[in-house]
Amino acid sequence: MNAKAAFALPLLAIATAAHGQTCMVSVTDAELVTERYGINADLRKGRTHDGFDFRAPLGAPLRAGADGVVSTRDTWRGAGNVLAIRRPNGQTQVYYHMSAYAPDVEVGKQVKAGQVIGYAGGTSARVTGSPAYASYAPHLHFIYGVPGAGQARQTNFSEHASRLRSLNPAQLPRRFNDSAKDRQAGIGFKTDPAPFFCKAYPFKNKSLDAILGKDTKEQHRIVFGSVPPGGSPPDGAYAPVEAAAGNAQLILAQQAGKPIEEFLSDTDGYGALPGPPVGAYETLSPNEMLATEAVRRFQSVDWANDLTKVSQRALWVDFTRMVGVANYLSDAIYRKKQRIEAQLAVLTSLRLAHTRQEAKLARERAVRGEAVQSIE
Amino acid sequence: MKIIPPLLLAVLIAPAASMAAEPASLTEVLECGMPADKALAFLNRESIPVDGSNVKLAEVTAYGVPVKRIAISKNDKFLQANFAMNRTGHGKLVAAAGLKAWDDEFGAGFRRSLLNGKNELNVTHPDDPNAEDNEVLGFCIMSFRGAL
Repeated sequence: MNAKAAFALPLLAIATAAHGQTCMVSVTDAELVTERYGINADLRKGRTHDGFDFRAPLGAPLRAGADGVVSTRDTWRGAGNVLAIRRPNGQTQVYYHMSAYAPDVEVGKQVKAGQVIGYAGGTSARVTGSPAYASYAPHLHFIYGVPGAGQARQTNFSEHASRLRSLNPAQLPRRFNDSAKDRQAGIGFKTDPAPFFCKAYPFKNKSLDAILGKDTKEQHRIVFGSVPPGGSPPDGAYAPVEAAAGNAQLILAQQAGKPIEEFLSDTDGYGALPGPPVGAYETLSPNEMLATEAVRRFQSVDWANDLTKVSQRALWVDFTRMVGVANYLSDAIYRKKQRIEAQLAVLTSLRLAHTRQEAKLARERAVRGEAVQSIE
Repeated sequence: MKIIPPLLLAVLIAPAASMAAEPASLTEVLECGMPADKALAFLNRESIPVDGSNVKLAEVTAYGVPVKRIAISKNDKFLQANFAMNRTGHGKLVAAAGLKAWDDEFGAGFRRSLLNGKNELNVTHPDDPNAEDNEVLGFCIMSFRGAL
């Protein structure tokens, strides 16, 4: 048994025995995880993932992982049809994107481990409480919540991790500082579901198996059993999902033989506000550019949300970008003033020419008048 | 899984010149340019189920891309047409339908608002790990009352 496994096993024991509960049975029949906890390595690279995505075709039965009482049955913005089951110990199993609920699965009712509680889908909802509609490929987004932040950390970190340095928040993906998300009403503090399941589930995407583990429990041991240098300690300020993603990034960087600063792209590391339309500014007039920026900055909800989440560096990047835009506009205004002044100069010149012509004619008239007078 | 017989399919995809105001084909429903009530009337007339059950198709296209199967459902607010196609048709569909990329907490894909916001066409990302291998899904949501 290596050192990593030596303190990982007690950790797993904490997750089960210390809470005086049985481990959870499978919540889907397919038993395949399509998205890891903590980090997304596929099309949503850089985003944290606060649970498991289980493979679940449309209409596939979803089961209670453990006995409990239904605490939430609602539609949530983005999450679609949601069901939460509170275990007797206060921990919560949460199911997102369901296409339908099983009969008699109502808030306040008891469910038993293995009981069908609903059916898989890919639902979302425009706003919380509004009807859900299909928006994603069918799957089960499964979240496990614990009632206390300390408990979340206890089940996620080895005792040795406290000796390690804190993770530099400036080097983490954009959501790492968003600690307000740690606790969600009705869920508690989200944590890695892996130690709470009886089984380990393989990952659909095998590309990270060699680095982050070939199944859910192995990933848990790798990411939390031996926190990498620079990883998040158990008393850190970060939520488990974010720490998991950060620690996974560190492990990936180690494997790539690069310091984390080089391994992470700027967007990964510091967050970024939405950039201007690529290549569009070359074809925009200053007025169009101003209108574009005004819409992006003052009418976009996404912009307003992102503004509070990105790091100071991202804000400086945007400030620098806007200084560039301001310089561009100043130059455009300067050139426009130059054109106006040139046109004024031409106008003045034309007016002067007209005045000169009138003066010349007046002089000629005067000369002719003098000549006539002298003859007379 | 229901199979639509070839004769009925011919009816579904044939242009109905005499009924210009009505949906002329299932293609028009899937392309998401139809108001919900008209699309529902068409589906009812053609006995296409709207209970969410899968219907396997042949020779039906959406934006020129062959559709493998559909599942249509409704509630009092939406009529929703889900359809599946081969991954190879994804680029063609996105370009032909003028879809824009999106990426949120739970997934990524391409979408477009139609009929002044009453309808929305949404297609999964070709690399979505939750879709069946070599398959992309399309979702046309049609609102019965006002914008989505």
